[in-house]
Amino acid sequence: MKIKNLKLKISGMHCSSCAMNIDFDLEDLDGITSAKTSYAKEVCEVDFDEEKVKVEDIISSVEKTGYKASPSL
Amino acid sequence: MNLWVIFLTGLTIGGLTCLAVQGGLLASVIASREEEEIEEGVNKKNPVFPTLAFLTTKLIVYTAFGFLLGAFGSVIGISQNTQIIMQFAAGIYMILIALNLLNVHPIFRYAVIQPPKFLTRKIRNKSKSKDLFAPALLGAMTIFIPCGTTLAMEALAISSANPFMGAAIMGTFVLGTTPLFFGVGWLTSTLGDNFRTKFLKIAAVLLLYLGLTSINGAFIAFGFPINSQTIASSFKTSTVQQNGEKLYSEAPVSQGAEIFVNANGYSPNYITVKKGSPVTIKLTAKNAYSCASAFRIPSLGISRNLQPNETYTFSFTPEEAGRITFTCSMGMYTGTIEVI
Repeated sequence: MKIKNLKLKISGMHCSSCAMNIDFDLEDLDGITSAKTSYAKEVCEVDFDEEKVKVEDIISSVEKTGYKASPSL
Repeated sequence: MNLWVIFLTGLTIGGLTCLAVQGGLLASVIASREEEEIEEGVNKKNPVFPTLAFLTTKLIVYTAFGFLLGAFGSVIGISQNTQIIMQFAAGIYMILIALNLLNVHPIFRYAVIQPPKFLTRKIRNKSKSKDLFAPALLGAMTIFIPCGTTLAMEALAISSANPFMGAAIMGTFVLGTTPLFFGVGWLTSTLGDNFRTKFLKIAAVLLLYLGLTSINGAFIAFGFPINSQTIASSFKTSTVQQNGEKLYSEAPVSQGAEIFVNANGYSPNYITVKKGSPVTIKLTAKNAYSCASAFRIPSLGISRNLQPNETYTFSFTPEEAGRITFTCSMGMYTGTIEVI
């Protein structure tokens, strides 16, 4: 198991509930240990197991919830 | 206090911010129940009962919380100045939230306090529970995940400095959010993003109105010379004078007046007195459960919290002509003593 940390820039959130929804959906994915989205900073921090889940899966999960995500440097 | 505006704020914002996350949680807990019931073979495919249970406990818990907030406000608001400052701060907060809804600048995003992670996780876990009481418990727990607007309403409830008023504010707000919960899927998918943005704008305007009213009330209660009342009355004076009418013809001049304190303000709210001789005013509180019962005359330093059916008499001698404003502690209900 190899835990990696990923920072995503999120756009399209209109309230803190959106941030909660993103976290809820991400944490339902197998391989994600924690997801923390900040509404104010528009950033989502994800800890995930590289062997179980890919970055693309994470981004597509956020998009499925209804927001745009892109890896931030 | 205009409870209709609060109801409308609940109705518009409830379609979005509250519903966005709570609707999802509710759907999740209903789905968990259905799974269980399908296994047991008793599923009736009826989400109305869990939805009602969810909304009922939510309403009860928020109303009780509003009562506590109002009581808390009345404790720390014992000093009139603290209460005015709180009301002013609540008004500013509502405006910040409104500016955020209007997307004025990303800085206003920080006005929205996000609930801590451990709480949101706990609530999420509850939503996966198959327990019969899970929907009701979930409804009660949503108190821990307030959206920005809910926080603004809570600030307003504190600044009302009255437990009944606080309960009314929170209860009305949550009641306003309920209708949309019954149309969750239908609404969000049919009306789409465009509608959502419009809804947010309506909510923002209502919040702006509430915020400005709150600040204006704080100004009036403080006796600050510039507020909507003094601005409006200076307009009135100049037009009446232009028309050459007699200015104070409506109210008879009397040095003794009885003012009734009702749930929705003061009656009469305009009296005329002569300067130089003592004025006696008798206040009679009827069913004064609103903030009208907290009677103030900022410029004379008169402050009295009336109990229902209480009467209170006070005297003063006005030395110069002009207007003396009387108001409730929040500056929501006002009246004028015209000194001639």
